[in-house]
Amino acid sequence: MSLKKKLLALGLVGAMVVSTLTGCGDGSSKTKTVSFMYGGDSALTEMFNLVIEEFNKTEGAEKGVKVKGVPKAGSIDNVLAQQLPSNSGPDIVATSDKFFKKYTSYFEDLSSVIDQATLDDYYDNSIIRYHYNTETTTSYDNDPLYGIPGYNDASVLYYNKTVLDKLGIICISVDEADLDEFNAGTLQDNNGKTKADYGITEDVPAKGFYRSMAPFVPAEGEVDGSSWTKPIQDEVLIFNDRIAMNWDEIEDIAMICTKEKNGASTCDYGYYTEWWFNYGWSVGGDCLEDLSGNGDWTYTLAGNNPNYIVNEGKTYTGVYTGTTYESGETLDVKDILNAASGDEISYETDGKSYYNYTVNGSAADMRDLSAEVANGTLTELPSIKDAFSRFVYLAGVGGLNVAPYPSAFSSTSSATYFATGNLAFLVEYVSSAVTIDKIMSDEWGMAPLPQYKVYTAPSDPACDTVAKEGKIASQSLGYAVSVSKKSEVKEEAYIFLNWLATEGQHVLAENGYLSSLKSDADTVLKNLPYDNAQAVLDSAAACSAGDWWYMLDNNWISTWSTPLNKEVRYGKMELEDFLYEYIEKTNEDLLTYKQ
Amino acid sequence: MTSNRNEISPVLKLYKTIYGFLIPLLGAVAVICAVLCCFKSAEGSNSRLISSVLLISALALTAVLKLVENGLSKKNHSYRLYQSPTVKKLDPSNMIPLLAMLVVVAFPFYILVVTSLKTPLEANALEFTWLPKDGIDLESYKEVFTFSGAIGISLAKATWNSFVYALIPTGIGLFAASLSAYAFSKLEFKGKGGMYQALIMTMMMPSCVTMTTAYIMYDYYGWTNTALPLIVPACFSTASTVMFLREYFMGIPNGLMEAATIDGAGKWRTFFSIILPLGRPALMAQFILGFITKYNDFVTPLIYLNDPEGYTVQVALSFLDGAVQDKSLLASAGVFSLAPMLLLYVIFQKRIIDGISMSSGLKG
Repeated sequence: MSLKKKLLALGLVGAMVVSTLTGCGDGSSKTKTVSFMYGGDSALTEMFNLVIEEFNKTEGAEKGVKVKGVPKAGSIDNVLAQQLPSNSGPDIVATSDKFFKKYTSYFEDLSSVIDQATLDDYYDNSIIRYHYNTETTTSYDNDPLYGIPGYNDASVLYYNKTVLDKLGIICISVDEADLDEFNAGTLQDNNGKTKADYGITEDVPAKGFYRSMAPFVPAEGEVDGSSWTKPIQDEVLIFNDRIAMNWDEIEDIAMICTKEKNGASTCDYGYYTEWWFNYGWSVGGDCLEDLSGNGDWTYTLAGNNPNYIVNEGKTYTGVYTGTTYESGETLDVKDILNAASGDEISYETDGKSYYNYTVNGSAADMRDLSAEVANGTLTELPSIKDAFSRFVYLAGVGGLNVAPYPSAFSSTSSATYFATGNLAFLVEYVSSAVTIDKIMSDEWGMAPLPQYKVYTAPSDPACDTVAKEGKIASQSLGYAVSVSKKSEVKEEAYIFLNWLATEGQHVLAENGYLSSLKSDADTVLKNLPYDNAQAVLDSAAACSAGDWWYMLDNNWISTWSTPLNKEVRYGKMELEDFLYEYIEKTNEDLLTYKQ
Repeated sequence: MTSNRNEISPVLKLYKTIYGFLIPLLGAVAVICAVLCCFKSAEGSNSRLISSVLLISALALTAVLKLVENGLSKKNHSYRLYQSPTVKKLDPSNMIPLLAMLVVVAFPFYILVVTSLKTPLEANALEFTWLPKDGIDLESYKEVFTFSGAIGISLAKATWNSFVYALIPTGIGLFAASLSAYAFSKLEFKGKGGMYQALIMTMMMPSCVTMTTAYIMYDYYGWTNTALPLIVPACFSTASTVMFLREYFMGIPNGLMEAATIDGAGKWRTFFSIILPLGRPALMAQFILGFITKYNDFVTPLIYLNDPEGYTVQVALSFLDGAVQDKSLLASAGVFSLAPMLLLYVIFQKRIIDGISMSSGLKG
């Protein structure tokens, strides 16, 4: 090679290096730069970029702080594992609920950084998930606060309107409060139509799904929908996307939409929810309970104690915890057991046929709350075991078979399954709407998640008087924004966090995203780009973190979810056997987190 | 028939080189466009028209190149097509396993390309269609080119970064590897066997095992958030490259080196004048393979680079992989990231195959 060529090659290599490394430096001298790392797809990146840009233009420019976005593709778990312990990691990090607790030891406690008024303005469930005590593994109000909600992706019920239309199900959109006017024919619903426009001649009751002749009400112990009947020719079917369906109604409409049950449907399945949360939480149960209030987590999916909810306009003070429950709140299991403050609550099981709570080592009795029920303070709700069973029997051998098997999603996501017209109803995150809309050729909408609700006369199609009602419950995937302990510009990072906690949330609300602040509700409602923004907002207000957030990792979930999805749902194991068999194994796993 | 290449005019030689690069490229373009022309355009798309224009252009350019080549060859009477006397026609019965292999290898590529051309609805449908029933839709390609604004880097800049991070360490690393391979294959020194075994042992250690410790080390050096961890370590090459080159260099007759020594050449002179020129096919093959590996690397740039302006194309494209996956978009991103490598292969295919087959002893 001639000298000229060698020089040319060297020059080219040098130019390439220089061109690539330019932009690594920071030109400004007075403005302090704070790096903010967040992971996700391009849509989430776009959202955080919007917030950063707005901050840099306003508060940042005023206070000499510049936030530099460090977007990372997908889950940033691997990146955080390397960068947070290092000296060159980001100053601020947005972590999803799935990894938040794992990294709290690298984050600053923000309890005294964010003012109380701002904390009070957050939806309770959106901020409580970022309190964490690394020693006791609890998340109570008084535990340190390691993050503030950056963005909260709530879940809603998507429905395929085209499929419902083809099956003769009329889709209306009327709030419960407006039903009288709608029935009188004087009010247009949210779709801009009156009752006459829909061709409805009878009064529409306040139900999520109304069947004029034979609504599905399963008999006691019926899990396979054997008493369900197909709608007959003149039966009026009305789906209202402003009122939450109860469990019977969603099962009824799901069976109508499942091809195997109703040949007229084009959908393989009627309904799919990956998560049991809105079933279990609606009645006040959960898969884990802290039986000492000090992080002694116990697996409680097999718990068969009744639950209780405080009725409207009432309060109730728990005997064991001393907590004053407000209207709409469900009682902690410790206040349902006949235990006095200071008693030791535990459980016993033989791993085969029973699960009982114990108080001071003896089998626990349930507290007699019949007087409170009789005087209207409390309403009795089903056990977590009953609620979970209802969820499990949506799919699987011996169940309703209105939901696909878990294996259906080995090569596709539930959202694309829905978007390609194979499913009529789907519980999914709001953020999935963009992709669903892009893929889907059918018309679609959003509705509130199903809720535990029992009418005074369930078999009477026109009866909409609610006898018992659980909580509105949904889950969301949140992104906590935290400050790294190793940051050298903490004060500047706190400036950004305080802005993000208030102004930043307003910016989100104004730009069509969900805000985590109660005070932004109207702005969110006005700007959300969905027809049924109210359903999204209601879900966002009620949503809690999924069980992947409960502990530092998901190992304890895999212990019981793997047999659930691979054996129980395929009829290889009875649900009862499953519920009892994995109690000890899961509790052994749970013990490791406190060590 | 023997070749008489020395008598080919420089103009024809240059033209043949360019011709050799362009014809496979134009062929590939023509085949793809011909396939696209067979399908109607999806609603709102004019893919059929664009494909037709490209197909005609590719065919016309091929014809022009062929005509020019014929003209130049006629003028240069001494030029004869080189054909090795050892080349034999393949027995048709041997074609069956080869074709089966081709199907297995080409199948994922076909799925990728055909999925990228489908409408989102068809691409994500449960039932796989072998051909785009709803017509060709190039919208997902458009999205691939426009989405990156959100990240703060253009796709062109990301591709350029990938080339730089791959080219520099591959080039320098190859030189370092050839020096090591030369020493291990042709020089005698104490502890050679043990050192070589130690080097080979490093191949057994998965890179993920050392990821954390490597990060701590680079963090200590102050290299994190720069491209240095991507470039500098790779400049010292990899054990597999050294092993590959050593095997190749061992095939170079020692007599040649002894002759050079007699003529007064030292070790460096022998390396530069004998080993490197004779080892060119192997070096070329290793260069291409090394380049492809580094170009496709996703984890290292993801972990070490924090400035979006420095992101590689693999990192940039991974932002398209959202919670809800749109298969047509992902497939289009896959085709886009694959394209430069395919192009490189088309251009250097002869050298890659030569290098691999010679080192594996296929040509004796």
